[in-house]
Amino acid sequence: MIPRTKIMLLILFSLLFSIPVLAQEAQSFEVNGLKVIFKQNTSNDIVSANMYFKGGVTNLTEKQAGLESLTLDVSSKATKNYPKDKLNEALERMNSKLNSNSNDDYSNLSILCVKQNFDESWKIFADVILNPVFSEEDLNLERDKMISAVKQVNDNPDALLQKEVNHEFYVDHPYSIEVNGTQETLSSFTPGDLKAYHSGMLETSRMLLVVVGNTTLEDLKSMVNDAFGSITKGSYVTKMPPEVEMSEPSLKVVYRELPTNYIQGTFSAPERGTEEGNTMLIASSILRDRLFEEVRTKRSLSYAPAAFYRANFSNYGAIYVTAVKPDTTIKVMINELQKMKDEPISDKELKDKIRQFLTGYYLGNETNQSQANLLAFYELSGPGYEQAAKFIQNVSKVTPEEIQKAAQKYMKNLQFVLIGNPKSLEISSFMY
Amino acid sequence: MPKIFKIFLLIMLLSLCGASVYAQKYGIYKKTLDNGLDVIVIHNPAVPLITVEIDVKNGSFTESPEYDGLSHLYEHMFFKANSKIPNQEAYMERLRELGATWNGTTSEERVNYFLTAPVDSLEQCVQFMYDAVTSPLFLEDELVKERPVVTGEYDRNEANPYFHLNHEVSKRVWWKYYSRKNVIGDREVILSTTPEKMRTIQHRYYIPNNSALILAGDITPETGFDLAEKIFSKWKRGPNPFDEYKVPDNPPIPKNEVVVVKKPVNAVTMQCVWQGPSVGKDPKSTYAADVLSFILGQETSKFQKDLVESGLAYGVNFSYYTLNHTGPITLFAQTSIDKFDACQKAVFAELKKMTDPDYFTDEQLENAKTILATDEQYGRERASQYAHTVGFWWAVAGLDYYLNYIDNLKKITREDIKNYLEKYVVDKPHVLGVLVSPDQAEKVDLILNIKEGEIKDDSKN
Repeated sequence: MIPRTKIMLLILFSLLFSIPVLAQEAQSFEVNGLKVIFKQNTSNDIVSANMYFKGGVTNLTEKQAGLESLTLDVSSKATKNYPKDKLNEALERMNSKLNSNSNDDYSNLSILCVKQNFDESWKIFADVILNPVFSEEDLNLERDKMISAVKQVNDNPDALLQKEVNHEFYVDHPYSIEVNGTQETLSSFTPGDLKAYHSGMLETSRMLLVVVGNTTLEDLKSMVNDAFGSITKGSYVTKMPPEVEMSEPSLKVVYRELPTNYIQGTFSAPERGTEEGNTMLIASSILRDRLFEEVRTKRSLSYAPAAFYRANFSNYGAIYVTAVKPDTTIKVMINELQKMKDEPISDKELKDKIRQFLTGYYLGNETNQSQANLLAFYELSGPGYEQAAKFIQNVSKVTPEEIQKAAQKYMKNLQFVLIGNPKSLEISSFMY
Repeated sequence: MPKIFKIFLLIMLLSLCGASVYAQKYGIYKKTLDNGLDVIVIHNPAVPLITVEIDVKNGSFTESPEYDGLSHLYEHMFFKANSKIPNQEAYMERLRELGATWNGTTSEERVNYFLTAPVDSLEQCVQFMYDAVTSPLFLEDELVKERPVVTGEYDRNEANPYFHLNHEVSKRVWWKYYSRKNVIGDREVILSTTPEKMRTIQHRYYIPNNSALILAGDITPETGFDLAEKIFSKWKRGPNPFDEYKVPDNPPIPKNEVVVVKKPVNAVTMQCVWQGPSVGKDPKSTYAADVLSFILGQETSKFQKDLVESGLAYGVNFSYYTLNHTGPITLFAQTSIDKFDACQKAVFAELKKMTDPDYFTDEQLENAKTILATDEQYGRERASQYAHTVGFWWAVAGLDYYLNYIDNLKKITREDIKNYLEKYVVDKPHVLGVLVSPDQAEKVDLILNIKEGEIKDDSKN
C-alpha cells in the first residue's frame, strides 16, 4: 500500500507531465551576448515576444527617477523606419499589442500578436528597441500623462497606501527611488536625456529576450541574429538590491477623510525562488486563509483581510486590511501571526495548500505572455528560468516545521501604515 | 463498411441527436438538460485545470427598491452553509481540499460563481457547485455576520472618488428605476435583509431554466455533458421568473443634465452617458456600437488625434456596454483644470462630427473589426477567464449572439454606424458628470455656467 502523501505527489507529478503545452520545455540560446529563452507553444496561434532590461531602479539616481519608464514609453511612439502614423496603422491593422512596463527590478518591452503577423510585428518590435526617434512632441505628451498618473496615486487609497509603505520600508535603499518618477524629475527630462539613457540600455549584456508561442527555434534564431546580432555587448552586471532588516515595529498614520481605514503591516521576507522563499510563500498563503476565516468569516471585521508576499528582488511580506475598527481588527490579525509561530500547521493543511498552489501554478501558465513573465522572473532574480518548471516539486518539499521557523524568523517588527481617520487608535496594538 | 463500424456510427449519431448537442465554434459545445439547464463545455486542454462556473440571470436588473443590492448579498451567502456543508469554515476547507481557487461576481444582468481546480477534482467540483446552488440554508447568524462584510465592500467603493462620479451620473440616467442598475445597492436594505428575502431570490431566479453550467478547460464535451446530466438533472425547474416579475423599460432621460462631483482628486474627469440599445430589441445597433468604439479607440482616429494627440486630454474613451435592458453609452475624458474648458468644448464638437462621411477611413472601419476578432482570440487563450466571458454573453444576449458576433460585426457598414449614432447619441439627452477637486470646482462651475448647488438643465449640448 502506498502512503496517502505519496499518492498525492504521484498525482501532482503525473498532472505536471501529462499535457502537451507544458511538456514543451523552455530552452535558451545566445546571440552576440543576448540571452534568449524560447518556449514553443503550438496549442494556439499567439506569439508573445518580450525584451527585458535589467537593473530597474538600481540603474537610476534620485534625479533620474522615472527616466527608464518614460524612455521606454516614448520609444514606442515613433521610430526611424516607422513614423508615428505608419507605426500605429500597422499595429491597428494587425491588432498587435506593443506595451512597455517598468518595475523596481527590471523593465519590459513586449509585443503580442497572432502567428501570421509575427514577422511584421517583430520588425516593429525590433525597430522600437533599436531606432526610436524621441521627438519633443511625443516626450511632452507622454510626460504630461505620466505626471498626471503619478499625482493620481494620491486619489486612490490603495495606491497611496502602497506608496507610503514603500517610503517607510525602503529608507536609504534603491527602491526609495520612484520607478515612475515624480512631478519634479519627470518635468526635467529632455529628448537628449532620453536618447542618452536609451543608448546605455542598448547592450546585450543588459538585456534578456523571452519568446513564448507558435514559432520555431530556427526562425527565431535567424530573426534575433538579424535584429540584434551587431549591437554592443557591453559588460553589464546586475546590482542586486540589499535585503531590508527591521529592528523595531512602527506605525505611521496618514490622515484622510475616508469611510474606512486602509492598513498594511510589512515585514522583511526572503528572496523568492529560494528554499526559504518557497517556505514563506506557503506560510503567507496559509496566513491569508486564516485571516479570511478569523477576521471576515467569524468576526465580520472586514471585507478585505489579506496576507501576501511580494515578488521583488529585495522582498517583504505583509498583512493588509480595510476596517472601521482598526484596534480590534489588528489584534485579531496579530494573534494569527503569533499562532503561526507557536503551533506547526497540520499535515492536511499543508497538503491542501500545495494542491491549491498547483492550481495557481497552472493558472500562471495559461497564456503565452504570463509564461514569458514567469520565465523572465526566475531568470532575472537569480535561480534561473529552468526553476520555473520545478516550482511544484520545490514547494512540495516544504515541511510544517520549516513554515513555523520561517514565521518565527520573519513575521516580526511590523512596519504599519494606516490611511484614514480612525475614531480611536491604541498604538500598542500595532507594536509587534 | 464493416457491420460493427456501422453499428458504432449509428450509436454515435443517435447519442448525439438524443443529447441535443450542438458542436459550436471556438471549442464551445452546448446542451440543454430536460430541466432547462444550459450546459456549456469549453474544450481547452492547454493546462490540466477545470473551471466550473454557474451563471444565473439575476443581478440588479431584477431588483425593485426593497431588494436594492440583495443579488449581491445573495452572492456572498452562496459561499456559506448548505445541506451538505454546515458552515462557511467547512465550506472553505472543502475548497482547499479540492485545490480550488474560487470567487463570484454580481453585475446588472448576471451573477456568476466559479471555481478552478486540477482536473482530477472535476466531479467533486461539479457536485460541490450543485450542493451550493441548490440547497443554501441562509442561516440567520451567517446572514447577520455577512451584512457588515458587504457594507465593508461598500465603504471601499465610497473611498474611491470615481464611484461617486459614476453614482451621481447613473442615478440621473436611470432616474426612474435606479435600483435596477445599482449593483452595490442600498446600505439600509442590505442591513435589514432577512433569510426570507434570500429564499425569495432563490426560488424566483436560482432555477435550472434560468441558469447555465459552464465547464471550461481540460474536458471533452462528452465527459462534461455526462457529468452535468448525472449531477444536475435532479435540479427542479421553476416558472420563468420574467413572466411574472417583468423588468420595466427605462424611460428616456427627460433632459440634458450636468452634475459636478467634488472630491479631493488631481485631475478633472468627464463622464457623459446616454441610454443606448437593448441587445434583445436592437442587436444590429449593438454591433455598430462596438465597431464604432473600436474605431475611436485607434490612435490614428480623428477622435484620438483631436483630443489626445492635441494634448487636450490625457485619455478619452467612447464605449457601449451591452445589456438586454438598455445598455449605457459612455464618453470618458480626463484632463487638467487648465485645459478643461478647451477639452469639454472639443469633446462635444467631436460628437457633432462623428456622422460626417470622412470621420473615419475604410481602413479604420476594417481595423476595428480585426481588433474585435483578435481580441476574442487573445481572450480564448485563458480558459478560466474565458468561461466568465461566455457566461456573460449567455446571460445578457444568448449564446448564439456571441457565437455569431464576429460574423455580424463584419457586416457592419458606415450607414449602420450613422444610424446608431443618430438613434442614440446625436442630439439625444445625456447626463454629463464632472469630477473635480473642491478647490477647482468653482472654475468648472463657471465654465459650465452652473450656480452653486444647481443641477444644470443643459439642453443645448
